[in-house]
Amino acid sequence: MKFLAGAIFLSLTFLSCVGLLGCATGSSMALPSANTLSGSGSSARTTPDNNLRRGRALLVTECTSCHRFFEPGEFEAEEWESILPAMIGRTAISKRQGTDLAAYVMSAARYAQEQEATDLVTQR
Amino acid sequence: MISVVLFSWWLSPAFAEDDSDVTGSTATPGELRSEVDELREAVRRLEERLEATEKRQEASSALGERLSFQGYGEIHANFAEGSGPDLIDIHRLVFGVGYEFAEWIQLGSEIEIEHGLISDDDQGDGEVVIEQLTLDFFLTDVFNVRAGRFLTPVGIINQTHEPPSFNGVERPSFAKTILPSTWSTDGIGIFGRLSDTVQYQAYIGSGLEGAGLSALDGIRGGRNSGRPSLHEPAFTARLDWFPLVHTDLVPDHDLRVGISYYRSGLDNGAKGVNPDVSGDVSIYSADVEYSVHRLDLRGVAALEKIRDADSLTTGVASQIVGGYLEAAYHVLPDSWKTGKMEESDLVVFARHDWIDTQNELPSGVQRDPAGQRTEWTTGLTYFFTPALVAKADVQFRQDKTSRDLPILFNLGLGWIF
Repeated sequence: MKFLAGAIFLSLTFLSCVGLLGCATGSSMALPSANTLSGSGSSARTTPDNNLRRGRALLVTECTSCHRFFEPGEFEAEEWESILPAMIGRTAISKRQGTDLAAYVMSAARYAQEQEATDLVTQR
Repeated sequence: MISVVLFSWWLSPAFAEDDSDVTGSTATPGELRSEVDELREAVRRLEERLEATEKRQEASSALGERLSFQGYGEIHANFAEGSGPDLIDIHRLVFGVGYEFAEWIQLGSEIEIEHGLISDDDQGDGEVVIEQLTLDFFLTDVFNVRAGRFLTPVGIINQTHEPPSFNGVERPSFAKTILPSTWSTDGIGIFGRLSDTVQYQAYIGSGLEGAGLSALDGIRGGRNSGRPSLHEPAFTARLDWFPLVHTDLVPDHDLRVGISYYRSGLDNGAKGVNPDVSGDVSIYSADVEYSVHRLDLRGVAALEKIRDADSLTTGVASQIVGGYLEAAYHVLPDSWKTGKMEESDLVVFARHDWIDTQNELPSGVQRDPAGQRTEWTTGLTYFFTPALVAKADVQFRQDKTSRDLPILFNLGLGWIF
């Protein structure tokens, strides 16, 4: 029992330490909303806000059930074009929902690239 | 001599043919027409062959787009303190094929091979089982139909059990006994999204086999993946709520709350032979997953009520309860994620399971103290990539027999593709 208690104590202590470390080092930006993407011009003009909104919801609810959350900006829009069809094939979402998901992810990826470029210019 | 040779060459068919080709003076209009017809026929045949080739290429490309192939697997090494068995276990190898019959009709399947060997002798305790075989008919966002063999929508692990999706080499003990995974149901039902933040599933299908319930393993033995009976079918429904979907908190915060209900009669057997028992099972369960920045928290609890438990195998409880809580932290600094470790992650976790398969008993039935147990599991999950993990953990277990059970050490590799 002493061993058990010691192991649990050590585990919790370790968790607390790495928790503090993680809080100190992590950073992330919010996932852009459909309105943000429409306003920025990152989305195709033919993609209505409702579809982008549904795509954002699908990204949050479907993708993370099997793997960690990938922010759209982690890949370029062209890369997502090949990643998404393979991934969507693993989910129980319809073709139309898959189209909404792809529209959102690629728009958000373009938006993230634009933001990065803007930040670079601002820093200079 | 030279003149004889030249005269012979002039008379030769080759010379005559060449001459007519050049001048055209020897071909009649009929012969020319015939030649044109032959050429037309040759072009037509070539066009047909080209068209057939194009069709084959299109069909091949369409098949590639419609067909999908996926799988997952895990290899474990298990060590037990003392004289317990130490072994290596090719625990699971799962393949799945999907096919899109139309934009709105999709076939899905998963076939699982367990424990590396299927044999009649003592060495093999493996099995091959169709884990999922579903036809999904996508009608609207809100209303879709699913038929076939699907995962019973209860708990966390039963619905998502690919190795990279959970911590620990072995699935939680709760997910082996209280809501046993993998637990499939054969039947039909509906599913969909009531809104961007709420999803539902509701099915009717094959029920639990009453003769399989036991004092220590609860409903685990009641699953039936052969040709299950529909004598006393099961009804199951589930709601999942994602309250943060449209907030600015995402992706740093992710919250999902799920509730499930399951009810099944127990007079069900395999191959149409029923055990002739009475009673039924009702299961109420709730689960939550919350991620905030690098911290992942998840928990599940379930309550199972078994009516007429005294008509089943001796010792089966009338009430079973259980749950687990888990905290996990992603510890790998971002600055380390370069080169070969670009996609890597390291998670440290601790989980507490509590299980009571003898929570309430029918009157006159003796309680088995081994049915009430707790378990602490702590360990590491290293992601080489998001789809390939190495795991290590240690498990401390206790039950109410007033003794500590042997400590277990587990190592594992798991993947999904």
